[in-house]
Amino acid sequence: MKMILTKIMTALMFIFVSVDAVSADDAWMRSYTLEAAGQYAAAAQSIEHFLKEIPTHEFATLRSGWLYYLAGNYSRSITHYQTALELNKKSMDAMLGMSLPLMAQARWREAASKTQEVIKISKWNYLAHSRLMVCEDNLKQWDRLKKHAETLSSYYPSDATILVYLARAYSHTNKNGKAREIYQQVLQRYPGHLEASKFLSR
Amino acid sequence: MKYFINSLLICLMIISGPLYAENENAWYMSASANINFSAFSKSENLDTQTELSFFIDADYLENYGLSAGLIYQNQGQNSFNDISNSIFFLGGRYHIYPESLPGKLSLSLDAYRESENTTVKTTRTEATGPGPGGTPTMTITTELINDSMEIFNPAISFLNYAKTFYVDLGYTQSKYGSTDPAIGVLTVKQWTPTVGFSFNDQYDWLQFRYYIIDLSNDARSPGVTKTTAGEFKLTHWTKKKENSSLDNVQFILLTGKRLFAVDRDARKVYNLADMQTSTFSMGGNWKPASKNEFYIYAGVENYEDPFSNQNYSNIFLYSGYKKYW
Repeated sequence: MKMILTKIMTALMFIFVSVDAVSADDAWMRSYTLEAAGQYAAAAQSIEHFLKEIPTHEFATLRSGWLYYLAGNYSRSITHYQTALELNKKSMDAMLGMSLPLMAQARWREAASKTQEVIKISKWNYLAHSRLMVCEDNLKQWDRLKKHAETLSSYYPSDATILVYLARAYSHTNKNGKAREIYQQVLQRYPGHLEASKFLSR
Repeated sequence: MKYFINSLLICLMIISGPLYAENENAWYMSASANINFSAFSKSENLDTQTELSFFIDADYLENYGLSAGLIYQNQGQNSFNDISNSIFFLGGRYHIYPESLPGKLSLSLDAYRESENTTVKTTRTEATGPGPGGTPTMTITTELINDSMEIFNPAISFLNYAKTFYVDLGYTQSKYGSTDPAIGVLTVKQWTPTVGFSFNDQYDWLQFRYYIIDLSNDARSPGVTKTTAGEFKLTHWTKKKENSSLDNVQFILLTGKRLFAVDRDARKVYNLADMQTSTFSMGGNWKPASKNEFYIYAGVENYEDPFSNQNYSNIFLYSGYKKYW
């Protein structure tokens, strides 16, 4: 009798756990489907219960940050990324993620500071460096951008984006000859590049 | 003067204190030194005015900032000795990014305080009766008059994230004190609603600020208890050209009447007791390197003396240098 009861209990536990897993799977699936359909706020709401049940759910926190950024709710996105960073101080996902809503709010200094935190951990992280260049561009830090893009292009010599920033920095520091030379290199990597073509046709 | 220099140094210590404790890129500092020279024409009392100012600003990322400054004014008079005074400036701002708004809200509070300015007041009284030798009696009395000025200027502003639209509401309360009972204390309340927007692919910015000024004491401005004026400011950013570091040019037009106004953008206190009736100025900003800025403005201001109803004008030249770290 005892053995039968134990088997029944085990079977019930298995059923409950499976049902729970299936419903969790459904929630994630619904979230990705809604994201693909461009319903970002609904996609975030569909995983909200995970955060209510387990406030330390790192992935749900990160994903909420991303979805609220896509939904244009930048302040809420920052709050989620901040929580994700509190949960895991090493999370480059959270640092890079937070740089996006900060840039959307034109908080270039704060966004730059987040990308620099990533660069401290991963010295030549492409994403962090490219976002830092966006910040330097918007802060009009032309001398800094010039040095930065020059160094970076030696690590990523085939990258057109880095060269565009380098050319812009030369142009803004009144070195148009050098800017032309770099924009020509951009066209070799990205034929028909709008900004490079426009500059060279002047 | 010593008091102001000490206070300025204390402020600098407060501002620069956390600089070393924070991320090297967290604090953004700038300092500017400016000179404004004015020459008056057709004024009964005023000849020239020289203003020297120094400001230092420290901003922690895009979250909050503090400013401190010192303004020294010297007024050359036609018939009397020069009048000099120093104004101490302190300012703070805090930025909020609310979920419900598509931009940032900024709260700011600026304060100006003039050093107590002591002048000698001479009163001549001529008696009707004959004095010694048959001449009328003349009594000359002198007394020390202390003037003071305190200004508080809170403001709330909104700038959208795309930086294409701006609106603010500023309130300024100025208190001009005097120990001379004939002058008394003047309280000035100024409201300045402002709207600004960009156009021409963000190469141009037009700002309109409306000044509504209420005055409590008409002993300093006979018959005037309220003035209104509108100020248009057009800024045009230049497209980069080789061998030119000109960053932008600005045109400012003020129309209407303004008395004891405070311009919080320019950090300028119009403490002349005469009615400003119009202003036109233009100038440019040059940025020879990304961390240096040089600017020069020239213009003409028209005034009306409320006591004599005499109109006069002032031609000014304003120049400054700003350094960023």
